[in-house]
Amino acid sequence: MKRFLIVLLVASSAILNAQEKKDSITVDKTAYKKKVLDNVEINFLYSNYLQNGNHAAVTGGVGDEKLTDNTPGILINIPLNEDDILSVDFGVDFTTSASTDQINPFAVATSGGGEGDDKNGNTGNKSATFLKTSASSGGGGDDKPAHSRAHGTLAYTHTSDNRTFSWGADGAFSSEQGYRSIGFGAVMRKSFNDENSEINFNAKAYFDNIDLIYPGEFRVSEGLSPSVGFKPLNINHRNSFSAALSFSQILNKRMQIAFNADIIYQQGLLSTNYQRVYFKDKPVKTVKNTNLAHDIERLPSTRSKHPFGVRFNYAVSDYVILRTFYRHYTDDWGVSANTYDIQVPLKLSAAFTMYPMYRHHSQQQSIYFAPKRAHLSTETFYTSDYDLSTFTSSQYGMGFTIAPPLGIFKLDTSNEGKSVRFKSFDLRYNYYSRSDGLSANIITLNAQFSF
Amino acid sequence: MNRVQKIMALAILIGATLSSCSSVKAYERAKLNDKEMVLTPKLSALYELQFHTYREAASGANGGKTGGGCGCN
Repeated sequence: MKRFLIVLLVASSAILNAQEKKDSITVDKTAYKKKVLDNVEINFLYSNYLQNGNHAAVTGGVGDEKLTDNTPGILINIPLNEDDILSVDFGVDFTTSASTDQINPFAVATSGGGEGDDKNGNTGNKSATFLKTSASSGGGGDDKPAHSRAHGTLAYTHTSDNRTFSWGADGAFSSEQGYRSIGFGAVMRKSFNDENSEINFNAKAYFDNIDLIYPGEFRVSEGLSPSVGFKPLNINHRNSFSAALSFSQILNKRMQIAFNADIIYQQGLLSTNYQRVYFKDKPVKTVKNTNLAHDIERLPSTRSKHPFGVRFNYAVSDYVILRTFYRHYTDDWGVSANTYDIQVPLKLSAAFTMYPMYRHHSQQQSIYFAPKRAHLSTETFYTSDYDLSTFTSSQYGMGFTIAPPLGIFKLDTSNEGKSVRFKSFDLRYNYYSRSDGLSANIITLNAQFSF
Repeated sequence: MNRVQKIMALAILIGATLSSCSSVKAYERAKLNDKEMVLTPKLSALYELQFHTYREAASGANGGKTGGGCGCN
C-alpha cells in the first residue's frame, strides 16, 4: 500500500508537472507573437511610359496620340507593433501629350493661356496645356510643360493574435488639373483550413470632382458656331463603388489558385467632357485647320462592371515557376473582354530571377462607340474613344529581379545594431501593341529597402 | 454562354478545385512560399495595370484599379 501511494504520488506529480508544462507552452504560444512586419520597408517605384497612336479621342477618333508619362512613387510600410501596419503610398505622374493642345486650338493665339469663366460658368479660357484626365487626352506637346497628377494612399492593417484574420482601412486622394478625387476603402482577410485556404474581401469608394472643360468651339468666348445651341453637361462628379471578393486555395506543395470576382458600379459624369464627336449626317466646318466638332462625347450616367479572374501559379521545379492569369469582363455598356497573362520566372541563382512575360487582351466594343463620322446626330449616347472600341492587344517583355536572401547590401547606421538593408531590385520592360495601331513601351522598377 | 451558365461553370470549377486539393502543412510549403508564387501582381507591375485601365475598357479582378480616382475608363 505504501509503495502504491508512492507510485501514485510520483505519477500524479508527473502528470501535474506535464500538465503545467503543457499549460505553460500554451501560455507561451499566446504570449509570443512574431511581428507581422519586422522592419520598416520602403519601396521606391518608377515607371516610364511612351505611347504612339493615331486615334486621339480629343479630336474625334483621328489624331496624334503621342504621349509620355513618368511616374516616380514611394510606398512605405511601417510596423506600429506586433500586429499593426501603417502604409503610406505617394506618387506623381508627369505627362506630356500631343492631343491636349487640340482641346482649344483657337485659344493659342487669342487667350494666351489665361483663365476665366465664360457665360456658361465654364472654365473657358483655361490653357489647353494644363488639361488632362486620361492618358490619351492629356499633357501638352513635347515642347510643352508637363502636366502632373499627384496621388496618395494612407492605409492601416491589423492582424489577429493567431494571424488568421486581418482587417484594414484606407483613405486615398488624387489631384490633377481639372480632376480631384478622394477615396475610402476597407479590407478583410480570413485564412482557414490550416492556412490552406483564404478569403479576402475588399470594398472601395471614390468620389471624384471634375472641371467641365469643353473643346474650344463649344465655348461662347471663342464665338464659333458649335457653341450656339450646345448643351453643357449638368453634372461634374463621378462616384465609383467596388466590392472585390477573392478566394485562394493551396492545391498541393507546388500549386495554388485564386478566384477573384469584382462588382463595380459608377455613377455621375462617365464621359470625358473635352472629347469630340463628329456626326455623319452633318457637314463639318474647318477653322484654323481644325474640324469643328458637332458635339462632345455623351455617355450614360451609370455603368456596372463585372470582371472575374483566376490566378494559377505552379512551381514546375526549383528553377522554373509558372504564373498565369485569366480574366473575363462584361459591363452594361456592351463591353466584353478576355485577358490572358503568363509569366515564367526562371531562377538562375538564389539571388537572380529573370521572367519573360506575355499578355493578350481582346475586347468587344461598347454599344456607344463608333469611329469619326459614323454616329448619327439622332443618337442619345456616342463616343469615338478607341479605348472603348473592338481591338486585340498583345504585350510582351522581360523582367529581372535581384533579391538575395540576406539583401543586396547592408549599411550600419548606428551603434544600436540598426541598419539599412537594400533588399531587392525589380526591373521590367514591356512592349504593348494594339490592333488599332496604338503602341507603347513601358519600363517599371522597384527598389526595396528595409531598416 | 449566358450568365447562369457562367455561374454554373464557375461553381463547378471552384468545386473541382476544392475537392482535388490536399492539405499542405506549413513545413511543406517551401516552394509555395517563394516570392514568385504570390497570388497577387508584383508591386512593380501596378503601374502597368494602371495604364491598362486607361487604354482598355476592361478593368478589375486583377489587383489593379477598377475605375474612379482617375480619368480612366
